[in-house]
Amino acid sequence: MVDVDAFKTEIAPPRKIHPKVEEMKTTGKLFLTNKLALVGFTITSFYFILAILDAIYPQYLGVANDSTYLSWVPGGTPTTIQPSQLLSPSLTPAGGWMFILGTTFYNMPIFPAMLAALKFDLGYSLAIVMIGGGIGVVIGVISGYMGGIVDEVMMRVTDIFFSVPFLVLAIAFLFVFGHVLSSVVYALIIIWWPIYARLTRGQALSTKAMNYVESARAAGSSKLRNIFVHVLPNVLSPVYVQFSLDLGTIVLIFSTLDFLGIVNGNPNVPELGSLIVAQGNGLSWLIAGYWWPAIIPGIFLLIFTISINLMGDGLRDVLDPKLRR
Amino acid sequence: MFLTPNLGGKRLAEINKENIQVRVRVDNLRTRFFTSKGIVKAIDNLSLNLLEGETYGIVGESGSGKSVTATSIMDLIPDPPGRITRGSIFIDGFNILSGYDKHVRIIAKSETNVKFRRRKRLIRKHNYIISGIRGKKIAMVFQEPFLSLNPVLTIGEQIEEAILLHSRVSIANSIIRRETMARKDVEKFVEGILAQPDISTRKKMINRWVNEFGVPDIERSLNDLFENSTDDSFITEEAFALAEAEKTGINLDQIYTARGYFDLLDRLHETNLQLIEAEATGNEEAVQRFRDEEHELKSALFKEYFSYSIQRRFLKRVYEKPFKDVARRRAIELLDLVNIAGSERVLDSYPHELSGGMQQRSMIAMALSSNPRILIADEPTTSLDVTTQAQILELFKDISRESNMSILFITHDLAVVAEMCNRVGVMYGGNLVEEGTVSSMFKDAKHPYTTGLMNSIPRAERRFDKSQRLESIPGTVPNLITPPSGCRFHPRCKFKMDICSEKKPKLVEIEQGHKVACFLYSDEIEEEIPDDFYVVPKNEETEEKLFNEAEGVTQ
Amino acid sequence: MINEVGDENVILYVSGLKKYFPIYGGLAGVKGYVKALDDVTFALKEGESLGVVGETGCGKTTLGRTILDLIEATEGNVYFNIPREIMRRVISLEEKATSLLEKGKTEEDSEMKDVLKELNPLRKKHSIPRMGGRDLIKLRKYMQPVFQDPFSSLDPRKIVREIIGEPMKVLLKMKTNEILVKEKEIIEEIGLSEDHLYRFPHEFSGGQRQRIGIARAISIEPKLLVLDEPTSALDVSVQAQILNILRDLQSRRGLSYIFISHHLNVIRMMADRVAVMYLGKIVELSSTEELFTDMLHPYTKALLSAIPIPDPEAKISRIVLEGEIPSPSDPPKGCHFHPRCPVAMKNCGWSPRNLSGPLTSMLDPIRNQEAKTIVGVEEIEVDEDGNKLQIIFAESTPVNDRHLQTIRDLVEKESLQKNGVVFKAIKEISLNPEANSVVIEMIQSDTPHLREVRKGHFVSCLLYDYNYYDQETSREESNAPELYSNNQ
Ligand SMILES: Nc1ncnc2c1ncn2[C@@H]1O[C@H](COP(=O)(O)OP(=O)(O)OP(=O)(O)O)[C@@H](O)[C@H]1O
Ligand SMILES: Nc1ncnc2c1ncn2[C@@H]1O[C@H](COP(=O)(O)OP(=O)(O)OP(=O)(O)O)[C@@H](O)[C@H]1O
Ligand code: SF4
Ligand code: SF4
Ligand SMILES: [Mg+2]
Ligand SMILES: [Mg+2]
Repeated sequence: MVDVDAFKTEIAPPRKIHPKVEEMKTTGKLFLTNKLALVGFTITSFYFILAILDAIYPQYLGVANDSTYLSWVPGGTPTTIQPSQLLSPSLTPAGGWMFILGTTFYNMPIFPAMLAALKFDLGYSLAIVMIGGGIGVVIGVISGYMGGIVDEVMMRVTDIFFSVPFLVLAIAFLFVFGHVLSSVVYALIIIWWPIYARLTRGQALSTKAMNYVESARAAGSSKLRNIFVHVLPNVLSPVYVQFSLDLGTIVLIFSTLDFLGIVNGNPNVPELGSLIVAQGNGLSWLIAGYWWPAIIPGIFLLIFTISINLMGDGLRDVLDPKLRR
Repeated sequence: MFLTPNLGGKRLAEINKENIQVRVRVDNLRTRFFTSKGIVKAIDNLSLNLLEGETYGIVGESGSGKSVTATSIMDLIPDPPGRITRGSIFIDGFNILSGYDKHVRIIAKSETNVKFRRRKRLIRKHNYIISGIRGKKIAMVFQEPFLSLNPVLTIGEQIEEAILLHSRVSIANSIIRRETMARKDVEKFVEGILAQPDISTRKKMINRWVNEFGVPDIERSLNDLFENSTDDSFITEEAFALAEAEKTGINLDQIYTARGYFDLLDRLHETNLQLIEAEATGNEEAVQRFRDEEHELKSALFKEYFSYSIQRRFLKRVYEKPFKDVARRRAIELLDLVNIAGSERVLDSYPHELSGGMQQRSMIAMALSSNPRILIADEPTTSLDVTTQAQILELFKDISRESNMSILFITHDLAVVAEMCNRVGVMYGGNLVEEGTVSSMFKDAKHPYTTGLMNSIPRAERRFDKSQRLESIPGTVPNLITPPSGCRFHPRCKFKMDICSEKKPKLVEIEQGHKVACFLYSDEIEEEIPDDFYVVPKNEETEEKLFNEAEGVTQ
Repeated sequence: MINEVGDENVILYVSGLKKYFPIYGGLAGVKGYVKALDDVTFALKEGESLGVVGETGCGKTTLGRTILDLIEATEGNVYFNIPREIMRRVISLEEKATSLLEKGKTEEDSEMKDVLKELNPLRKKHSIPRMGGRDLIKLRKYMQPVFQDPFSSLDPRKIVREIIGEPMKVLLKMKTNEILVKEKEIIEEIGLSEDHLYRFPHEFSGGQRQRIGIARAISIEPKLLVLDEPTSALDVSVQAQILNILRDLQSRRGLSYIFISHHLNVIRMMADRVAVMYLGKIVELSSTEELFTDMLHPYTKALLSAIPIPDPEAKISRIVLEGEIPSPSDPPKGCHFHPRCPVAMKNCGWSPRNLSGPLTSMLDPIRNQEAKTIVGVEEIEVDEDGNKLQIIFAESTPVNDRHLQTIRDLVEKESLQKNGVVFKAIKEISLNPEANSVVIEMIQSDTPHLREVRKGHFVSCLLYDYNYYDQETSREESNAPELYSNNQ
C-alpha cells in the first residue's frame, strides 16, 4: 500500500446515480437557469408536440387524410372564393373549434391547415438535418482524424459542395425531380452536410492532438474505435447547437421558397409558406384588410424561428466547454 | 529585442503618487468559483505588492491558488463559474476592479443555489478597458502551453496576431520613418552613438534605432561599422547607403490611414482610463474634460472607421501585407530570443508538431511580443531542460534589468525560485502564509508548511537509496469548498495548537521584510469577513436547512 | 557494443532507430526533414529504469512514441519482449551489422550478406516497426505510456472507470465484471478509493490525474512503462508521492521504465542508467552514479553544470554553451555538438559553411587591419560537397602568391585565437588562377560513434574515441592525411 495516509482527503460524497446521468442533470439545470433559453425550449417543444399529436391523431385535429390541403375544404371540392367570403378568427366560431383562427383560400380552416403544414415542415427539416448532419459529422470526423491525403480529398469534395449555390441546385432539382417539395429536400441535404463536415473537422483536428487519443492507441484502440469512441463524443457539443439552429433555418427556407413561389408545383401541399401567401392572394387580401390568412401563419412561423434560436443560444452557453469545468 | 517606450503607465501612476514604485498592488483579493458542487473559496483576502523591476515568486502546492491569483490579476477568471468578489487590483496605479461589484449581482441562497444578475453593457465596457491594459502593460505566460495554444493555427499565425493586436501604430511609424528617412536622421543618430563611449550601451542604442526606423536587417552591419571606425562622415555615408537600400517604396498613404485609425483607438482607450480614474476620485472638472475628449475622439473615430475599414475590406492584401511582413520578422526575432532553433520552420508548424519545450517557449515569445512592463509567468519553464531553462531565466533577468520589467513568477521548483526571485510568497489553500526575501526564506523558513515544502525537494547532492522514500507533507491540499476553519493548514500541521482550528492567524511582519501567518510566531488574529452575497435566511429553520444542505453536498 | 548484458535478461533492444518528420512546403512538396531521431541504439534490462535526458526538442518524446509504435519509425528496429535466446542472437547480429556498416561495407558485401541472411527473417518477425498489426496488438499488452500533461491525457467525456478499463477491454478482451474487480484493486494500489472510479477527470487535481494515468498503464500488467516527464507538471510534494508510487511498483512487479525527464535530480533518484541525448542521438550512456560523478561528454558536462540549486546563495558555475543552437532540420556535420562544444577539435565536423562566416570577418578590412592588403574580394563561394571554399577576386585584381601568403598568415593567426579551431580544420590553401580565386580545402571531418570507453559507459565523442586518437597521432607523425580520409 502506498502512502495511504497522504490521500485520504476526499473530494465529494460517494455517488448514488451514474455520473453521466448526473452530468446531464447538471447540464439540464444550467440550461434551465437561462430564462430566455427556457422560454425558447418550451415553445419549441410545444410546436413539436403539436406536430407529433397531429401526426398520431389526425382525426381529432382535422381529417385523416391530410397529404393535401384539400382534405379540409368544406364539401371536399375546392372552389375559388372571394375574400369577403372568408371567415374571420373568432373565439366562438360557427363551424366548430377548427375555425377558431378563421379560414383561408377555398374557405379552408387555418388552424388544422397550419398544424398539417407544421408537421410537414418539421418532418422534412428533421430529416434534412439528421441525414445531412449525420453524413457531415462522419465525414468531418474521419477527415480530421485521418489527416493527410484522406483529409485533402474529403475536404476538396466538401468545398465543391459548399460552393454550389443553393438556389441553382434547388432549381436544377426542381426541373429534374419535378416541382415538388421533395426536390428541395434533396437539394438541401446536399447543401447542408458540408457545414457539419467543416464544423466537426475543425473540432476533430484539435481533439486528435490531445494525448488521450494517443494513449488510447497505446491501449490497442483501432483507428475506427478511436474515431467513434474518443474523438466523436468530444466534437459533438457545437454540432448539437448547430443542429438546433438549423432546424429553424430550414423551416424558414422552405417557407421562403414557397412564399416566393419557387416550388410552384402543387400549392395544395401543406406548407407554412404557401399558407402565408394563400395561393398568391395573401398579400392582396392583406392590403384589402383581410389580414388573418397571411398574418396568423406568419406569426406562427416567426414565433417558431425565434424560440428555436433562443434555445440554440442557450444550448451553446451550456455546452461550450470553456464555460464549464 | 525591440523596446518601445511605454506611454500610458507614467501619467496614470503620477496621479497616484503613492503607488509610483508599486507596479501591481493586490488588496484583500477574494475570488470564488460557483460550481455545481458548491462555492470554491479559491482566494481569500490575499494582498501582495509587485514592485518595479522585481521578480516575485509564488510557490505552493498544486491547488493552492497560484494560477487563480495570476488570472485574477489579469482579470481572466473564467466567468462563469468564477468571479472576483472583493478587493482591488492596482496596475500602475489604475484599479482594474473599480466598479467591478456593480457588474454582477450575486445572490447565493445556498452553496449550490446561486443566481447571477449581469449588466451586460457595463461588462462589455469593462472588458474593452481591460483588454487594452492587458495587451500593453501586462502579459501572461499560461501554465499549460498546449491547451493555451490554438491547435488549428500555426505558431506563426498566433504570434503575428498577438503582435498586430498591440503594435500596429508602432509598426506603422517604423515603416513611415524608414520610407521617409533623410540624411539628417542618420547624421543625428551617428552623432549620438559616437558621443557614447560605452560599447554595450552603443549596441542597445543601435538596436533601438534600427527598430524605430524599421531597418533591423542592417543592425549587424551598423555594429561592425561603429566597431571599426570613428570617422563620422564615413560612417554616416555608409549607414545612409545601407538604410537607403532598405527602402521598399510602398505607398505611404495606406500606412498613414492605418496609423491614424489605430492611433485614435489607442488614444480613446487612454482617455477612457483617465475618465474612470477621474470618476473614482470624484474630480468633477477632470471628469467633464475627459468626457469631452472622449466624445471628440469617438466622433473622429467614427469618420476614420469608414474611410479605413472600407478600404481595408476591399484591399485587404495590399493593406495588410506591410504589417504582416513586419510582424513575421518580429515573430522570428522573438523565437530567436527564446532560443528556438530553426525559427522559420517552427513558425509554420502547428502546436502538436512541436516538442513540449518549444510550445512553452512559443508561449513566452507571445507574451513578450508586446514589450509588457509586467509579466506574469505561470510555471513558464516546466518542460524545459536545465540548460534551456537557465537561458530563459537569464533572458527574463535581462529584460527585467534593461526595461525594469516586473515579473510575477509562479513555480513549483524552489531551485528556480532561489535563482530567479527577489522575494517569495508561499501560498496555501488560497492564502498567503509566508512572504519574505529569498535569502531569508531559504535560510530561515518559519511557517510549518514552508519548511515541509523545503524538505520534499529531491536534491542531487544527496545519493538516494532505492529503498529510501522522499519526504512529503502528509495529507492533501484542502478542499476549498469547505476549507478548514481557522488556520487552513491545521489538519496537516505538526505544531497544531487549540487556537489554530478556531481563529485565523494574520499575516504579520515578524522580521524586517518577512511576514508569516502562524500562531507560533504571533497572536494576531485576522478578522474573517463573511461573503456578502449570501442571502440572509428568513428564520432559524431555513438557516439550519441551508447549513445542512451546504454541509451535505461537500462532506 | 551492448554485449555487456551479462546474464540479465534484455527486455527491450533498440537498434539504429531513426525518425524523420517531413517538412512540407516548397515546390516539391517536401522541403526537408526534421531528424528527430537519428540512429539511436540501446538495450534495456528487465527491471531496470533508463533515464533519458537532453535538451528540449532533442527527440526524447519521439523516442518514446516510436518505441511504442505510436508513430512510425523511418528506419531501424525495436525488439521487445522476445525469448532470451533469440534476443541475444538478435543483439549480436545487429551489432555485427552495425559495425560492418560503420566500416563502410554495403549490403552486397559477402560478410554483410551472411549477417543479413540470418537477421532479416528475425527482423521481420520480431522488430516492432516491421511487424503486422496483429502481432503488435499482442505486444501492446506489455508496454504502456504515461504522458507528461495530466490535463490532456485523460478523455474528458469518460469516467475514470472507462478510462482505466480501456486497455483491459481492448487488449485483454476481459469481461466487464472482471475489469471492475481489477480496477478496484488497482485504484487502491495507487492510493485512491473505489468511489473515485465514478468521477470525471475534471474532478481531480493534477497529481490525482497523473495517478489515474499510471493506474491505467499498469492495469494490464505491462513489463515496460514509457514515462514521458510524468512529474513535471506537478508540485514537489505530489511529485514525491508519484515517484514513491513508481518505485514501489517497480520493486513489487519488476517493471522496466524508460523515464524521460528534465529534472536531473529526479533522474538521479529514479534511474539505474541514464542516456543523454543531443539532437536525435544518444551521446552518453552510463550508470547513473557514474554519469553524475564522472561524466565524459562535453554536452553532459554543460547540462549537469546547469542544475539549479535550491539555495539562493549557491554559486553555480554553469558552462555556458555559446554558438548557434542547431536546428534538427539541418544538423551540423560530424559531431552534432561541435558548433557549441567548448573543447571541439579540428576534425569534429567543421565544414565550409562553418568557415565562411569567420573567413568573411577575417577578410573584412574594417574589422581586421591586416586584411587591408587584400583588396578586391568579391565573394566567398561554399562548395559543401567538395569540402572547399573559394575566395573569388574581382577581375581587376588578379590573384597572386602574395595574396596566398597573406591569407595563409592570417589563417595561421586566427587559428591560434580562442574560437579559432575552425581555422585549424583547413587542410590546404591554394591558388586557382583560372577562376581568379584562392581555394581553401578543409580536412575530412569525422563522425563520432557511441563507444564503450569504460565498462558500461558509452560516449559518442572523438575525445574518447581511442581509435581516432591512434590515427590522429600516426597521421601527425607520418603527415599523411590521406590515410585518415581513407578510413572515413
Ligand atoms: N474554473 C474553475 N472552476 C472551479 N474551481 C476552480 C477553477 N479554477 C480553479 N479552481 C479551483 O481553485 C483552486 C486553486 O486552483 P489553482 O489552479 O490556482 O491552483 P495552482 O496553485 O495553480 O495549482 P497548480 O500548481 O496545480 O497549477 C483549486 O482548488 C481549484 O479546484
Ligand atoms: N508530429 C510532428 N511533426 C513534425 N515534427 C515533429 C513532430 N513531432 C515532433 N517533431 C519535431 O521533432 C523534434 C523532437 O521533438 P520531441 O517532441 O521528440 O522533443 P523532446 O525531446 O521531447 O523535447 P521536450 O523536452 O521539449 O519535450 C522537434 O524538433 C519537433 O519539432
Ligand atoms: S497556525 Fe497553527 S496550524 Fe497553522 S501553521 Fe501555525 S501552528 Fe500550524
Ligand atoms: S566530438 Fe567531442 S570534442 Fe568534438 S565537438 Fe563533439 S563533443 Fe566536442
Ligand atoms: Mg497553476
Ligand atoms: Mg517531450
